[in-house]
Amino acid sequence: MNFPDDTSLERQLARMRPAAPSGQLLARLVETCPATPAHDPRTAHWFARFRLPLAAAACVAIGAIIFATWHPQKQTPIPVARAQIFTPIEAKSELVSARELGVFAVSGVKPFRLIKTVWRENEISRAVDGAQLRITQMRSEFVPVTIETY
Amino acid sequence: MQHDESSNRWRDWLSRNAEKYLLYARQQTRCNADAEDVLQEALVESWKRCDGCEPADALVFATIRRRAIDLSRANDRRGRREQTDQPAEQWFAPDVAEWDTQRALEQAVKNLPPMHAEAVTLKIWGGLSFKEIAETTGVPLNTAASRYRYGIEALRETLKEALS
Repeated sequence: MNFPDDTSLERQLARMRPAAPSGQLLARLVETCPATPAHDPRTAHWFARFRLPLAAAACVAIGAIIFATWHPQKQTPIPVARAQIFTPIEAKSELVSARELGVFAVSGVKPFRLIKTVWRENEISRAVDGAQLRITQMRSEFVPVTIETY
Repeated sequence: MQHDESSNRWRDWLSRNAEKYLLYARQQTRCNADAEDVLQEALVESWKRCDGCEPADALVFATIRRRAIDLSRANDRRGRREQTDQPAEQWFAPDVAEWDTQRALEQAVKNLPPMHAEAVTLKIWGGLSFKEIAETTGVPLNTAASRYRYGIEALRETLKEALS
């Protein structure tokens, strides 16, 4: 037979069927049917042996989880501000403004000018643990200024 | 019940594929006894790896190849020598109508360099693509295709001489 090209040779090769395994080999192969993991006899035996202890352990674990989950939770107390004593460590007054309101003449008294001043007072206090408290207040004053006549 | 089902699937798979896997095992080991051992181990391993499903051809061929290499190394360590030049086993089912041609082809395939014979076996009778052959044998795609082409060319030359 002549094979003019590779294709006809490939066709001829493809027509050849590989020899079948002998009956003995086939029987050997069939016998060695690998057990699927779920049906591995060793696994099954192991599971049967430890089934009850495993079930008991699982029950205990589940009970512990349920107990931990359902345990009434303590109400978190609302934090109360700690009573601390603040001791003044610094006080400062700043003159913000001074405005003359006018000259006032009241009977029996020398006439005087009245001046309104506005002060900003800063007071800083400190607690024992080092916390600082700063209080700022505005304060107004009316200051009479007598008029001296010469 | 489920075990029977698994057993039936295994048997069915064997009946459909054992021939081509055995051919490749023979080509790899060049010894019938070794081929059968390698085949059995490789089929069981492949089946287990796929968790009872039918493994892909490429996986089975790769497993056969690896097992054959392992066995070859073990044999070398033991200093055992196999007569591999003229294996007596028939690799192919006899075809009376083309007896002479088939015998010549079979002999020619057996005489191919192992790399070329492997590529031809995997392509023609294993049904693998060049990409799968490359993955199975661990060579680049072009190398796998070249080996096949060289193998076919060598077969043609050999047959031209043998049948002329």
